[in-house]
Amino acid sequence: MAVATWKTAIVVGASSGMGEAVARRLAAEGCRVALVARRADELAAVAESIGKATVDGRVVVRTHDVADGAAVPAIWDSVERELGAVDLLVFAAGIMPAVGESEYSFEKDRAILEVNLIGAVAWLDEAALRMETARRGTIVGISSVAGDRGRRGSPAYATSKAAMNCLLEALRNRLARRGVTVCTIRPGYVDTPMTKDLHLPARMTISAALAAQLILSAARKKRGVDVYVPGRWAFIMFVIRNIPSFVFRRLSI
Amino acid sequence: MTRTAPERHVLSGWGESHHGFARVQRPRSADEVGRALADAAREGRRVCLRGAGRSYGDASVFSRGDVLDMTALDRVRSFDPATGTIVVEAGVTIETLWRTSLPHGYWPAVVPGTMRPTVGGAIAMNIHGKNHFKSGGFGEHVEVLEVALPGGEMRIVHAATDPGLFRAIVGGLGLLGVVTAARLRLKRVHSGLLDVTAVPVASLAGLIAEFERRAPDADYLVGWVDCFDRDGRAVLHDARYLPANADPLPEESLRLTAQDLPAKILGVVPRGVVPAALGLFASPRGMSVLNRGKYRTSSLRGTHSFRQPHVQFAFLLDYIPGWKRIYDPGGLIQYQSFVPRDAALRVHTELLAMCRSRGIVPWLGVYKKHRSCPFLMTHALDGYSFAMDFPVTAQNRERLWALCHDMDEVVLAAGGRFYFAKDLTATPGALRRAYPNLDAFLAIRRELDPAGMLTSDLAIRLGITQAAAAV
Repeated sequence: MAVATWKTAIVVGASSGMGEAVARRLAAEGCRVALVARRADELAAVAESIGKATVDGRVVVRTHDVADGAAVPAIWDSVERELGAVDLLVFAAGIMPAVGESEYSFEKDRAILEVNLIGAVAWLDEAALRMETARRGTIVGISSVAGDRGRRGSPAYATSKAAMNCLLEALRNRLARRGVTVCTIRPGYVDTPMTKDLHLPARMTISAALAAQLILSAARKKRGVDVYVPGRWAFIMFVIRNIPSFVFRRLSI
Repeated sequence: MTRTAPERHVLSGWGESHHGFARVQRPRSADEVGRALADAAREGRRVCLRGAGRSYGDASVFSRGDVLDMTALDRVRSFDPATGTIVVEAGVTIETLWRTSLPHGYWPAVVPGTMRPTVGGAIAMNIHGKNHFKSGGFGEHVEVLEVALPGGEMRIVHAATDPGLFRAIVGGLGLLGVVTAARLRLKRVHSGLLDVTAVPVASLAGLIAEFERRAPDADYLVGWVDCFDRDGRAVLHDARYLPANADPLPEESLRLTAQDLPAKILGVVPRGVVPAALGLFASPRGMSVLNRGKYRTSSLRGTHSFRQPHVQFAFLLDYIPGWKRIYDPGGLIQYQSFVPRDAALRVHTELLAMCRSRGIVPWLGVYKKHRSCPFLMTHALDGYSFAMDFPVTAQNRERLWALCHDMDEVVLAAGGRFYFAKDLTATPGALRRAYPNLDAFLAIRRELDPAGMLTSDLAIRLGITQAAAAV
């Protein structure tokens, strides 16, 4: 068993996908984990299965909709009362509803931004405040390769991830001198409930468990990092980022 | 009515070794201070006052509480060049004081080692400078205070007619009321320059002898001590105001441009690169080399004199921007002990020996001479203070605190005191033993602030008030 770098973690968006996989891995390493998600039933089931696999860590759950940012300080306090000082925050909440190629639905786009971006601001602000005070801790934001370009597929989703990248970089620059590590994670194709309808190419797609392993090993580095998961996406996205806009709009990616 | 909404900030002591997050409100006038206090009283919240945040420890931080940032009260209400009397709001800085007064031939009677603190903070801590043995503390040059009391009353407190209350508020750690403005008496000077003499001395004993010899005539005395040296070798700086007519061109030297800190150190090194260069010495071995180098340089030149602008002499801490970065990431604490004159050499020699035997040697040591003063909670006494700067790291923190507590015993046994603008380690027991007037102070506090509204992490640590409820 690997030695846990962290004693107490909050994983936001822990009821499925990469959040669940990260929480599972942390718990297996002996880290106390607070699982935060909107769907109470899924959360309870995940907590139970993680709890069984835990060596000596403890798992608690908090039902919370990240669009309700004002509730975050109280949740953080209640987790710390139960588990002790939090030294790792993983923000993995995100939604990617299907968007038609000529669809323009304000309510749907607003919901994407409220969860993916405003929810991230609420949790990352809280984490930064607490960890800058403590002069230690790690903040991990699960972004996406989708934030690298304005693809035609889902404008609001890409926007939310691009904004999240900027937010994470700004916090990394703020907190570098304050003993706090901030990591941006840009996953490529990962097999999760969010992507199950996308028919991702199997050879390019990794499991959520492997993604979680790569995410945590990147976050364990003392210097804050911005990484693609898995690493080969760094090359792919380097090429894609450098395609001129007038060419990009003619491509089918 | 527009009022600034509270914001959440991480606040730090100036030593960067104590941090807390708080809701911060920034009132812009004495009226807004009064309203903020009334709101807090109505909602049962407690409040901590913060000026420029130049206290090294936890005096202006209130973890998870409400903090009133006083720096927006930054107006000079009046200045009379005929008498050197100035009325300023509490958030006015020492820098604004001298920039306002020096062209007219006045200098603040007491200044600390940096010009950034506010007048409100200087009063709450009754700060001192390198001339404490001669001019006393900051509060001795304050004539009138305007104070917002926690009960809502705005009171004018004169030093002359209400000495009991005045002497409790000055040095009262901001726990009796909110000073919103003050009238100060500035010092007449006949030049923008000082006559400075640097004197290398081979030991702490030699340093104290030199202090005693020079004190009757000097205006400022300060000793830098090499704490890595067994004998405590030192360099003393003696500075004196120029008498009238000694400066051939006083109107030149009194100009603000003649006072500005030079952009380059020794005429060649840009100040901006100094933190990076100092970083190369950021270890016990490196600081030992730096201290030795400083002493050797001075002793090679021997006793020598020069003229220096007030600002350059007074504000050494502002001279090297970013010097604190050598203490990253854990920050520093400054342990400053005040010891009666007859015991000073023995006690401070013992403290140095304790530091060496524990393997935690101060990176910087500063020695000053003091006199007693009439304030209720004064840190000053007839004797000497030794300020030791210790780096704080995750590894040494526990041992460092233990060392400080053991040094407390030696200092207290000799009738010594501590200074809460610096302190981060003293205990409620040490406070009680060092401050015989504590009960009288607490009685005044019960009268002025019966609900115990005014607080700070310092007051909580010392057992004066209780910790904040969770936000």
